[in-house]
Amino acid sequence: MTERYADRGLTVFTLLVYWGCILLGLTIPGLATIAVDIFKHGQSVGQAVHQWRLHLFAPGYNLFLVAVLNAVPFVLLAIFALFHLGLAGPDPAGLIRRKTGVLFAGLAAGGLSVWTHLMTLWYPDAQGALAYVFLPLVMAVVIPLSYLAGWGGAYMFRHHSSKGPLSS
Amino acid sequence: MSPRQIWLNLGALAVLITLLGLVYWEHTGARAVPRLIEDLRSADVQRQMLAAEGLKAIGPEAKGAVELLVAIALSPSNPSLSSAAAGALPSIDLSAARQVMAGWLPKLNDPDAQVRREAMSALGALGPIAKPAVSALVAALNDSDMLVRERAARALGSIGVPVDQVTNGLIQALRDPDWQVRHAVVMQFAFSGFSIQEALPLLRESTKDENPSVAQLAHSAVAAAERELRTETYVLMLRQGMSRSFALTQLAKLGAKAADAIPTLNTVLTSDRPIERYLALCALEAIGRPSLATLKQAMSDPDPIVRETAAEAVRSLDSAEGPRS
Repeated sequence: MTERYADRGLTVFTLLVYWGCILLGLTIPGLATIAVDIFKHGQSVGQAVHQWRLHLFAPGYNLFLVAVLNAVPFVLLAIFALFHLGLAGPDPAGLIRRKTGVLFAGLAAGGLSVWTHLMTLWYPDAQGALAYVFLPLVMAVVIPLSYLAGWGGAYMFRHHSSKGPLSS
Repeated sequence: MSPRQIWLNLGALAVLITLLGLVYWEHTGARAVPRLIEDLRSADVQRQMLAAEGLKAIGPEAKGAVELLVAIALSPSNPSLSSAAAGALPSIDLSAARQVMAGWLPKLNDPDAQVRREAMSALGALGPIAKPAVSALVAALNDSDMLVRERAARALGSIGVPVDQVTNGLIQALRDPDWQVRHAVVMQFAFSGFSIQEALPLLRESTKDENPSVAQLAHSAVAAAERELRTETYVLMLRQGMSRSFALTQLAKLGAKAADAIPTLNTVLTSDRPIERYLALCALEAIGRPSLATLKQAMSDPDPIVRETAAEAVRSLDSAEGPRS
């Protein structure tokens, strides 16, 4: 019973991470645009959403393509998480390391993407759009590194706490 | 998770990606034209302007919107919208763009200064296709209304060809009594890619202009005039399909110095976009005699405006050659 429950919990967690990553990747640029219109340009929520819809396929402002470009690394992370967590063995320590690594990678990717989109829109610049092109490349480096940091952090924490106070 | 669950979720992702691809496909190219026409008919000016930009990006496939764009471009109700509609037309239909030019040209002599200003903006928005309006625009640099002169300078910079006529007009306007006009003129030399040595002495004088904005901008204009514009850069842009209209316009401004670009310009003459063929002809005409054979071939182009431009260029080069032979 316990094992079945644990499996279901892991399945739910994996699916949440998987679809959450995809959704986050696709929506961050639009949400950032709406947020900047509301908080910087003083528009109402309705106006901001209207602006976002107007520019979704507009030449030069194609927010749809920006969203797709932003989603690429998130989708890759989601697929990695699906296999990495979905096919994880029963070892609880290994599972925690994997979960922490994936969560760290997701948080780092989300944080970096939100920050980049907000800064690009808040401080507009002629070359600002280049950020959208380089962001996936930067994320391709940040995601594995933050995964390793999370995995390593969980390992160190587990290793340190298993030694107990006597060992120090 | 079972392998079946994993593959099901991957399949769902594939379906999502396909759906997103379909949505994008539906909103781009000729498929987007009916929706953009609907947007042009809306009462929301921003939506209309974005629709005009969208139609411009689609190009000749947006032929269905030409009639409406011409009506908006000739309508005086909203000058910004008229300019946006006028700016979209050259990419879609050269004849329609010339129709708009012909509609605005008589208004350059309208007694109402506001009408003349709007005419300047609309002609400028048409870009190089409004080449036949250059003489009238150069004359408008002596208009009594300061804003008309300022907009005439901007329009000349955006039309850009024939480069000699445009730059001669702009050079004269460097001595305009109003700093706003001088600022607009200096801006054309600073940012529009005119590499004209004749303008240098006056631009150097402008660096000491009594207005600090003009003086500051004149420094950039002097730097731009002294910088050697490289034909290869624009040829590379053309080959790589980057900002082709801009590259062609810049080659037209280089004149005879762009002779190395003739083989590439020949290939542009087979483009399916009439505006690119037209701009290539402008560049070839500016290069002069070495491009005469190519210009003669272009006289059988399927587009009437391109054919007419080729014929005019051939006539002009032949008459220039006349006295020497």
